[in-house]
Amino acid sequence: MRKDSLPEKILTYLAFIILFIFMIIMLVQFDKIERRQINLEMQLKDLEVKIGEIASAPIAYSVAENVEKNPLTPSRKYLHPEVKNFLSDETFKLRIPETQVGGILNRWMPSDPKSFNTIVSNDGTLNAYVGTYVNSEAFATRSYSNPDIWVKGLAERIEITDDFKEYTIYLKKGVKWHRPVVDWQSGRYDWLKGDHELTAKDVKFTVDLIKNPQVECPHLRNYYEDLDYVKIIDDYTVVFRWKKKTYNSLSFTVGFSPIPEFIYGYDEDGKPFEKSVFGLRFNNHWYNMKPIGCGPYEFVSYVQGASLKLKRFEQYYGEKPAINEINYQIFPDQKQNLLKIKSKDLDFGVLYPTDYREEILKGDPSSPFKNGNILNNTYDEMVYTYWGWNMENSIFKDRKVRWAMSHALRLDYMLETIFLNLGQRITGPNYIKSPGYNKDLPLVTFDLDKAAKLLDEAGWRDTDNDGIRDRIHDGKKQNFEFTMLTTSGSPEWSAAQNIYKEDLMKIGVKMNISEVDWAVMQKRIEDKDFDAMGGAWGTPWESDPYQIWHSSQASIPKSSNHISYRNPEVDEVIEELRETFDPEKRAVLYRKFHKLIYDDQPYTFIFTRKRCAVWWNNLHRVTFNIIRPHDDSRPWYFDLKNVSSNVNPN
Amino acid sequence: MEEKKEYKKISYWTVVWSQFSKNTIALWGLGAIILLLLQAIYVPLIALDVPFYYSIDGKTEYPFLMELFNQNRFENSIDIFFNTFMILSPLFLISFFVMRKMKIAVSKILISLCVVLFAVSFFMSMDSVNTKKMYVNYKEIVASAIKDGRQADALFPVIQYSYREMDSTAQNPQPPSSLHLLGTDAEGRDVFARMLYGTRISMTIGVVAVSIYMLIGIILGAVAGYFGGSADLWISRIIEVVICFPTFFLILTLAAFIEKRTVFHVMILIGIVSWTGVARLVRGEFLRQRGMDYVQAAIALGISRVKIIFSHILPNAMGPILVSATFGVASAILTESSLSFLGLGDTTAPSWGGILNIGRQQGKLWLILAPGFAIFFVVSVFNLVGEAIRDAMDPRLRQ
Amino acid sequence: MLAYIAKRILWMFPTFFAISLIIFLILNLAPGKPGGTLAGGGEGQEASGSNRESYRIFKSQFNLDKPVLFNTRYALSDREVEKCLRNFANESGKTPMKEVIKAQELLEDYGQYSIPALIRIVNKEDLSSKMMRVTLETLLQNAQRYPINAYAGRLDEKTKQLNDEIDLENNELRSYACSPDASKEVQAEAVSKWNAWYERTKGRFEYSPLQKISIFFCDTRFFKYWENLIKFDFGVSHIDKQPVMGKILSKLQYSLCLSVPSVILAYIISVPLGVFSAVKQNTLFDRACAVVLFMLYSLPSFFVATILLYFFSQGGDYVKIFPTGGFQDPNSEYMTVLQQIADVLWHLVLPLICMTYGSFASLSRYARTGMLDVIRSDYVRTARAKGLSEFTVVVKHAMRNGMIPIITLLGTLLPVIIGGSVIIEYIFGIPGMGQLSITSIYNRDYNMIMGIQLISAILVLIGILISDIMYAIVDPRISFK
Repeated sequence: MRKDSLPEKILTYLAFIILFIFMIIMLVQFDKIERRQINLEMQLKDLEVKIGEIASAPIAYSVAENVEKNPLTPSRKYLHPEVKNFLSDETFKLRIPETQVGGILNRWMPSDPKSFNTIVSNDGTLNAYVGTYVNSEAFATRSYSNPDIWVKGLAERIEITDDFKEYTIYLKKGVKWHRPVVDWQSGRYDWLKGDHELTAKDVKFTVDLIKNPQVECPHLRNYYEDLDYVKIIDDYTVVFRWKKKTYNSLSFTVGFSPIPEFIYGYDEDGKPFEKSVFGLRFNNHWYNMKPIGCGPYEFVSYVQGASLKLKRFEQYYGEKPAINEINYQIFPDQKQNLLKIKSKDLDFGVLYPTDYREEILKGDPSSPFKNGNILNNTYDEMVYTYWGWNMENSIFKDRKVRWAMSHALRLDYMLETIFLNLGQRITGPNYIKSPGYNKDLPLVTFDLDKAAKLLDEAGWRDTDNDGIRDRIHDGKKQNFEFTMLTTSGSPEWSAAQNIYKEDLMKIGVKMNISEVDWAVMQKRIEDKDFDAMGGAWGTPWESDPYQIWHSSQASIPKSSNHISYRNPEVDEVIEELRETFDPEKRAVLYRKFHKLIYDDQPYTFIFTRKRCAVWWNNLHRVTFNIIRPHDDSRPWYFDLKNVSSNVNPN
Repeated sequence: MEEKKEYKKISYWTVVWSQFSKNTIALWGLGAIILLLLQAIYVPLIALDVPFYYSIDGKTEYPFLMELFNQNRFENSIDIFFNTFMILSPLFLISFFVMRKMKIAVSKILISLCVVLFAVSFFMSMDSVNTKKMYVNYKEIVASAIKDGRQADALFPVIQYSYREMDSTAQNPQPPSSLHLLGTDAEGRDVFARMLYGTRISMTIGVVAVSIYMLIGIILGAVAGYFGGSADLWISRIIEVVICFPTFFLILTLAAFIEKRTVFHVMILIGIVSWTGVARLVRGEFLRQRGMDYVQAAIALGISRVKIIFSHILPNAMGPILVSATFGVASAILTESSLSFLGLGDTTAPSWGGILNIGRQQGKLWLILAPGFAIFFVVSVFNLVGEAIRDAMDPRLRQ
Repeated sequence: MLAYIAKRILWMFPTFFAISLIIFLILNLAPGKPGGTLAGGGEGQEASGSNRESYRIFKSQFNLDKPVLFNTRYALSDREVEKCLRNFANESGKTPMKEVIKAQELLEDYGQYSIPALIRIVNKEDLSSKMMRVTLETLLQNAQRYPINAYAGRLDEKTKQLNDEIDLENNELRSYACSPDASKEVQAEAVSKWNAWYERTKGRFEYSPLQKISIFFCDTRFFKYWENLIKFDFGVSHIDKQPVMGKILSKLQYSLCLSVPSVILAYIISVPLGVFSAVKQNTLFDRACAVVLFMLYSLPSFFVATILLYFFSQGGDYVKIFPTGGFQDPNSEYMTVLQQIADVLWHLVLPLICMTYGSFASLSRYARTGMLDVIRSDYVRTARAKGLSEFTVVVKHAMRNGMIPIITLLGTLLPVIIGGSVIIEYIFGIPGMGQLSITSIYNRDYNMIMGIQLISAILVLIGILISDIMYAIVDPRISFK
């Protein structure tokens, strides 16, 4: 072995050290340059935003004023000028004089959307988090201040015939679709260049898609089954014609939201899809993993399982929101949610009951939740939870049994200790704030003796002394034992079920709990493979009870009437509701329907959920919408002057 | 004569034991395991919401014994099994001493007694015997009697809570207090009682899962190693295939797919995916031992192959198997608690991993630390003992 | 040597086939079916109806309507089909809903194979009106063929033509439909139309023995899956229809960032520890080291992770040093590269700790035994006798051979490096492979689960091979027969 002499060795080491120092210097230099560049970029971005503000704001306002003063734009002719415009103007202003423009809102998204295509995906996550901002612009929306009123959206005027069968829709002119986010440099997407305007063609395109049997949109197609045709009058006028007079048609026409044809009609190279496989291709469209629409925010970037970024669309046709960017962080763990709110990684968040108790009800005075750094408020969600009794199961066919089950639920205690009053007890399926909610019905009391008596009356007695009630059914002995099917993952609900289970045990009823993932649960519900289930329905402002309660839905697989509830009296009311348009008559019918359901107790109604929202104190005018999405951030703004907002503490 | 007898007594296991007993930590570990087992068996004497006796107006009742078998109270069949075991265990001791006095060949009868005991316990724990009874809240009975001004008296175990009784008197989860030594969880169940009953779950998981895969591994490995040839080829291929399975992920997937998970499912899952190590070990040992003279002699004597495999070779290969079994128990316990932590274990059983998961969600230190340290303790005890056995059997380390 | 490697690689194929077969069988025979998440609603369900048709399309696209291993549907008897129809029609009204739904599903799955039987049944005289209706509906549903549609790539002219033909025929068939309350005459007319159509297309439903064999083996879920697998195509995710391979690759960077430093760290720390305890064998240090490392090994990582998060990143009563999870800061795009690196490292400190400490025990143990084997050997003694310093002897002479076993271990670490850690990623919210695995399990994303399992199986196979080869390379004494 040859040995290096000492000087040689030292020289080598020296060379290495010099190289190393040199590299560090280079790195530091690079870092400086990069930082400068980033600063420049940020300044540029600010400028861009400001230019957009200056360029578009006056025009937007003048259009709005114009419409107010002179509802008939001179250049526009209406087919039926004598008919009153169905739409009114929004009185709620997104921006108030104090509003400051700018800032980035960091929010939480619990899971990845399965697809950003609003037709194919019926994903709650998508609708709640992205849809509102990017693509759920409809002809008209329910007013922010009064959900009973429809206000102008994409349409400036809608004419409805007296029989509620024909709707003429006049689209606003100059509504621009967002620019797609693609790799423009590659040249492959040159066919997408330029501005694209919303026209009647897009509307027709969307309707055709929904009616195409190949397209995976069962959640929409059912509602448009009775749609006879859609006719294009001119580029900005379109007519919807329905076969029947149904109340549903109103909200599904007026609340219709089109998708852009210029991108969804074509494959990645700009060629139109073959007609025979169009629906199949659309299901798997190349742009499905990016959202596009004409809403107030446009899509910037999306990293699966990490983040989704939106920025304000400066060419938006309506009143633009104040916050510049919305930045979603995606992670499933709710524990992290709290930690991130506390460390200001998130500006706004919703607390789960456990965290709500720890931080808001119990938190010590020095915590940010108590010292005024983080503000909070609760709002009602349009969701009610229930335990449903499958009437295909012979146990629950008897109304007395179902009443007994309701009486055995220690609800007040649970609401207070487990759900921390984040909920309001209800007696029936209608939304508690809607006029159709029947306020005369008393809440079901927790009374084990009464429950036991009802079970005795229904013929359930413990004859073999094994602690569980039984009866003779179809010549066979049947034990009162059933399995409650629920989704896993919520500690509150599993606590509630455990308490219920122990209480039922005291009156000789054995309940097993089967906690499964949502995917399995859904499958089992669709196959009616359960005895009892815990679930939640998100109710729209005016719900059509047909899907959930009508007998005709009871024997259809995969229907929403999964407990197979059948009651001819209820059917009658539901059918009448579908053809009644008068709000007062509807309210009366709704209340009657509510009473009938209450008497039958097909569900044990639990409560409508309340949510506790928390936000850092530099976020202002945090208001909550009455209807979903409740936490729509468009009226909110950041106080950019007093606090240096959105600078991460670490 | 005397000397020869002494000489005969020093078997391989005696040597191993003498080596093992030099290791103080390992001895402590062994003691801890025995203590844990005893605790698992006798936990109803420590924590249960049923009194040993209670008397109201002079009328005394003894519900404790019957309640031990009430399937409405102990819905987990593991508990029924352990309870039966607990009741029958004094019998076991008595017969042991009686037989010892009568100088009957102890070992064989002991083994058969063990089998009978297990069979009875197992029989009881399955649903074959209906021992369901009405669920009675004894504490309420006694309390209401006292409230009514009647003369009442009751003797409860030290901790008056079972693992599923809910204390709804205060805002839950309650922090540790004199009433609840480790506080309560969200439902108001006593965490200390749950921890004690959790030992049963962990111990059973460890022992049963390991027994399952030991059984599979030993049989397959023995067949492969003893017969060689095509049997060896095929079994080796099977082992190669199963080794490639991503074990933990596979267990996760299967656990998620089973809709009504019980502890037994988890045991079986762990058992059927982790037998390859043992099989390879046993195969190697058998290959080594097969060529030895004593085996050849046994074959020449015309002893049946099953007998050669199980009573001649297997005892000689038992050392490494025992070591891997001890480590296996530790890792099975760890796997189960990971599963429960991810919410994929048995949700009705008071598993330590499950308690830890709730603790993490609730952000309560007592719900995190107690189960965490319990898992840590049990796993490290098993690991230390396994390590010590291995060292004791390693001739190179013998001093 | 080369021959040996070639043989080993060849052996990998049947092994892999067996693995895929077993995993495939386990997944497909396990209870619970995919497709449930199609209309996923997250927490609350939306009040909406559903449509059978799209579920059927979903099933056919993922081959879920086919039998798992063998297909005998070419010989469907009238009895089987009629039984299903009767259950589906539920004339008596007494069939439980579960059965009705099962029958419907089965009828859908029979697809084209049920056509001859259906035609024969529909021509029967004694059919009740309800049965008639159901049969006609099923016929209409099953007679329509799906247009050919590959997820990726363009269709060639021939397929396009075929698709147009199919489309045309489907349109015609749809005109045969009669309303649910149609009269007997209308139904009879429809039946005659069906008969005429069947006469025309009869050839399609008669199979030659060769065709039967090919249907028996090839028109099955497993075969279809393997057909793609050979092209290294793992299919697309059931949930978002993105290719499985692409999704896995996009997650890989996160897992690698976590596992590579973890492995390096583990080696850097545990090898010196092992060597040192071998040199100081049976001293207090050796024993204490073994015990401490064993304790660490026994500490469940989820417990440590929870505790670390509780004390070091929660703030409040405790210090907030580390971020609460995630891979990098959400606003990292406004950072320079150096800052980004620092940010990622900062995020990875806690997960790294949790991932690393557990492997100290086994690694240092391997290092220790490896050292013990050589430290008493003659050449080490010779080196000592030469008067070399103890350091030189240990580091330069003994370690070279003593580290052989621990280096070969690297190969078996391959699946761990790439697969990531489910629990750590779940707790710290790192969007890597572990997180992907657990979400795909929760969502019943079969293709994704299959893909992950198979890829990790391949990695294990390769890892074992690599470590064997490495063993041979570093230790020339070992030869392969």
